[in-house]
Amino acid sequence: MKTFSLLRTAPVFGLALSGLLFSCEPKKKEDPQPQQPEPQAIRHDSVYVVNEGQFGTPNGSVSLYIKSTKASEKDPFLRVNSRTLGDVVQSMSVVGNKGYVVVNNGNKVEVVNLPDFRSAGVVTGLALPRYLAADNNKGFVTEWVAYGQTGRVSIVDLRTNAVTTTVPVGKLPEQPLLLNGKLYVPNSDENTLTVINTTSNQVETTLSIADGPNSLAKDAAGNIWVLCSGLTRYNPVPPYNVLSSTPGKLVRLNPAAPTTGRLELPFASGGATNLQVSPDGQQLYYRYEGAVYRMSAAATALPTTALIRRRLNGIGVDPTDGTLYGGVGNYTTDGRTVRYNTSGAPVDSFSVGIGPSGFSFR
Amino acid sequence: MYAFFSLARPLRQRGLLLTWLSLSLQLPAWAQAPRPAPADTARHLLPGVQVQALRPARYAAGSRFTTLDSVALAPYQAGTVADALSARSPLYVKTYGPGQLASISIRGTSARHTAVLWHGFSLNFPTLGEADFALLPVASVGRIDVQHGPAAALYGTGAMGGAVVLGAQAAPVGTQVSGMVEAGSFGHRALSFQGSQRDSSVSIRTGFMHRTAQNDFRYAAPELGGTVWRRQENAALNQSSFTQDLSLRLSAHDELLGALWITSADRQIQPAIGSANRAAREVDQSARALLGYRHQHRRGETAVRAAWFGDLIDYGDNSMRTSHSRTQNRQAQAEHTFQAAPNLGLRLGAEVQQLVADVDGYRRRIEEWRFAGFGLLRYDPTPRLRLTLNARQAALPHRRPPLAPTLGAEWELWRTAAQQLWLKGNVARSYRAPTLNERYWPTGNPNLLPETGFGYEGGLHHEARWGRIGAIGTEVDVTAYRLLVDDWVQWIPNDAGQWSPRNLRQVRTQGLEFSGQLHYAAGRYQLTGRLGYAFTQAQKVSGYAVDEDPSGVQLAYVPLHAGNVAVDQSWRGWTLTSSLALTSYRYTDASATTFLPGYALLNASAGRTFRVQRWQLTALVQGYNLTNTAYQNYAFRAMPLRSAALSLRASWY
Repeated sequence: MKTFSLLRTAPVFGLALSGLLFSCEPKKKEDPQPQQPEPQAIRHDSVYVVNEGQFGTPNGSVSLYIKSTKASEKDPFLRVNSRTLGDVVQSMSVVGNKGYVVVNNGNKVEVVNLPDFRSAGVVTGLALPRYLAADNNKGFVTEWVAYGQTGRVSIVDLRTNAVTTTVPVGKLPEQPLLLNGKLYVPNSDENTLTVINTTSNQVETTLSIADGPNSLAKDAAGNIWVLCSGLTRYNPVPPYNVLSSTPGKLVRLNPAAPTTGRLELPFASGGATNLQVSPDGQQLYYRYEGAVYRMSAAATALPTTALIRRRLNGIGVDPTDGTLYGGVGNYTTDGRTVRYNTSGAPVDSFSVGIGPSGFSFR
Repeated sequence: MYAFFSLARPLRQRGLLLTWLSLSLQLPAWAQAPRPAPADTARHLLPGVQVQALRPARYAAGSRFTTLDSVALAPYQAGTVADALSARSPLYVKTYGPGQLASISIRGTSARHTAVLWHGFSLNFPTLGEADFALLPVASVGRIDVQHGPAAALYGTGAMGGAVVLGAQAAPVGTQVSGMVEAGSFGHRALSFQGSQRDSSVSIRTGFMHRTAQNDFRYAAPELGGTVWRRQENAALNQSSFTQDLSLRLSAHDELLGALWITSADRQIQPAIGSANRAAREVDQSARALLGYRHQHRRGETAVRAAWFGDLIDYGDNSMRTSHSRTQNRQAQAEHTFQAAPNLGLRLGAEVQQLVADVDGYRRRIEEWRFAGFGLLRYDPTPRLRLTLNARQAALPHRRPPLAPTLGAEWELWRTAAQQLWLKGNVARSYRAPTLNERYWPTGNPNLLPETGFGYEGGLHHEARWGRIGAIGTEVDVTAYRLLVDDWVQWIPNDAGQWSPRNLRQVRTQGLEFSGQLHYAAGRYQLTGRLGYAFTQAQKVSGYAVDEDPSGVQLAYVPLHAGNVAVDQSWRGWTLTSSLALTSYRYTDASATTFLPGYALLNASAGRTFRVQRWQLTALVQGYNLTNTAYQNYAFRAMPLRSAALSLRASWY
């Protein structure tokens, strides 16, 4: 009965092989970090690094960095909740003891308890959401909805995580600014700022600014600065040539009289983005042509020399000490966050998730 | 079937070969044409038309092959080459879901380091430099030979990690028609038809296959509050393939060959678990036409071939306008073989290729010419030593890749009446021409250098028969290799922040490959067992500071261990096949910090064949992922749990 012994050998081979294959998975690797951050130690000492992950793959993450101990953790959400945040983690807003993580290609906002990152809810029914700004128990989420269409702002009841109403805005709305009961929404595929009354949830006005407004900041004097990247239009049919291209502009306006007395500072080319402000409201930072620039909020001309000559995916400014955080990394490997002092000199760096591009602080 | 037995004429008379042929002739009935005509025997026994192109082994002494013959392919007649290779070989095929984009990795290299050949021409997309194995239906190929290791001298650009040679199906003598209907889980339906006619001067064969699948299988999604079972959305597909082969014997020495292969696939693109469904959809259509002429001399032969390949890819989703890609690949080859002596053959050849691309992204029409000349030498100084020396020199626009030579040897160390042991090895240099995307994308790099590879391997091959005359036959092959790819192209952001390809790294892969095969026959019972294992270590070993991927860690999606076991049995009209594929953990990013766990997949099929006069009817039940394993091949892409299909096949001859 040789046949049957032969038959038996195959499963044995299989078992031996599978033993070999499964016995040797890598040890669950955490970042080579000096210590795991201790939750109770997290008190206004935390930096949240938003890592987009790879587009089309839900491996976006938020990394945690503790300033006092310099401890970091690549993905506390995954550790605590045994699932990833999602596809293209775009931004995170801290509201009270909660973090609102906007997942652009997941069409959702993940709500987590801080400091432990335990999942506390999900806002669904969103369409390509970008940023969340909060006023009392109201969250305002800008959404692209779809390319080529007008965007919207969904208003979320932060107690129930339900969308209560939506407000149409312009195309590709980006990071909004809340100021004095008004929400200023930059419509980055247009030249406008939509102003929404946060009490009535109605659009109050739409301001013409300059092509491609993408980020806003409020300075010490109470002015709003609007960074506009310019717009490049391509022929939608072959040969897909550039039909028009406008340079960027940095625009200062007075929220009390937004249409008069503006300061407009033109760039030589397009692409300026990621406007940030120092804790005292005296300095502005932005990224332009592969570098980071700093400008006094009292200046009337754009700076000509860069503060940091490095291409960063995104920058953030610590609202307590002014330290500058920059994200570096391609989208195939874990990224790093480099910390710079206020004069632009690198201080140190730590390992984060894939594609670090945004920062929030607590 | 091992390469040693493929062609060399002096070997044909040997006892072992005859044993093998006799085994081949007893293949399970449903797997093969009623009168089976394996490629070699067909030419050996029937000096009529030569339908089959030369098998790759002739000028590849010392190379390792993995072959899926018609028996191995039979359960996958309604599937794709990706399905068959995943289940029946330790090669790693990365797939984004059932029927979705499937790219192969041989010896730790990427899909663009693998040449895929049909009738001697590469069918890799010229834009991407790689093939999607999910677009190649098994129904349209007769066998698959995978040559491991660098072989650019034989196959040209891209054959750095290996080459996949798709063999045509040979028409058996006489008239035959056959058909198949199949239905399975998740809306899988398939229909195929084949007809052929062959006599001493004409061989004609037609094949058609259509399949459709909803792929609305259930998968577990981790969500707030725990695991939620969801049905896969946006993963349906429709796929067709048509083949037409014609071979005419014009005279005792002249033969004309024509071949046509048209494939079409309309696929929804399966979104990742947890990602928004953007209703992405891709249409892929390819047409491949070939005309060849062969003239046999007293000492050798002359062959010319011309081919036209056209590829269409349309991709769109609800966030973008449909993107179009149209490419044409016009190619011609001429070669002359001198058989100076039975043990000495030299083939010299040249080829010319014109690529024409109308790709939305390029913003203009691209035309590119490529040329190559090659020489292949096979010399067997003694019956126990076989040597091949091959070289190819290509000429590309602006760049000249280095000469790509291969030196291979096989030496019979030991032989008895029933056993033989061979020592084999080869050393080769290879290259990969930059793809059209790498050169002509608006942010592409026209100055890219060709990637170059250098590899060597060595191993042992043992064959034996045991028991009463050939009742049990075994083959064991062990190969160790090392491969170095230099100027590896990587896309990284340039100074303007645009992603652009650059020659950035050196990648080293090394490993061990093992395969074993056992064949047992007793009366009308037959058993074939196959075992394969690959240990693959692939690392970037040096690069530039701008390339942030770390050195010295295993590359993403290269499993360290992969193995498979397949057992095929037949008795009277019954057949039973099973295959177990094992894949170890794979890192999912270049940092080697995140990984997918290893998994095992068990497939099996059971069939019964009835013969009624000239009709042969087969019913086949197939089961996939029988252990109901939840796994992911590519991160966050759901794969089906246990599923089944019922296949009914009929043939008349």
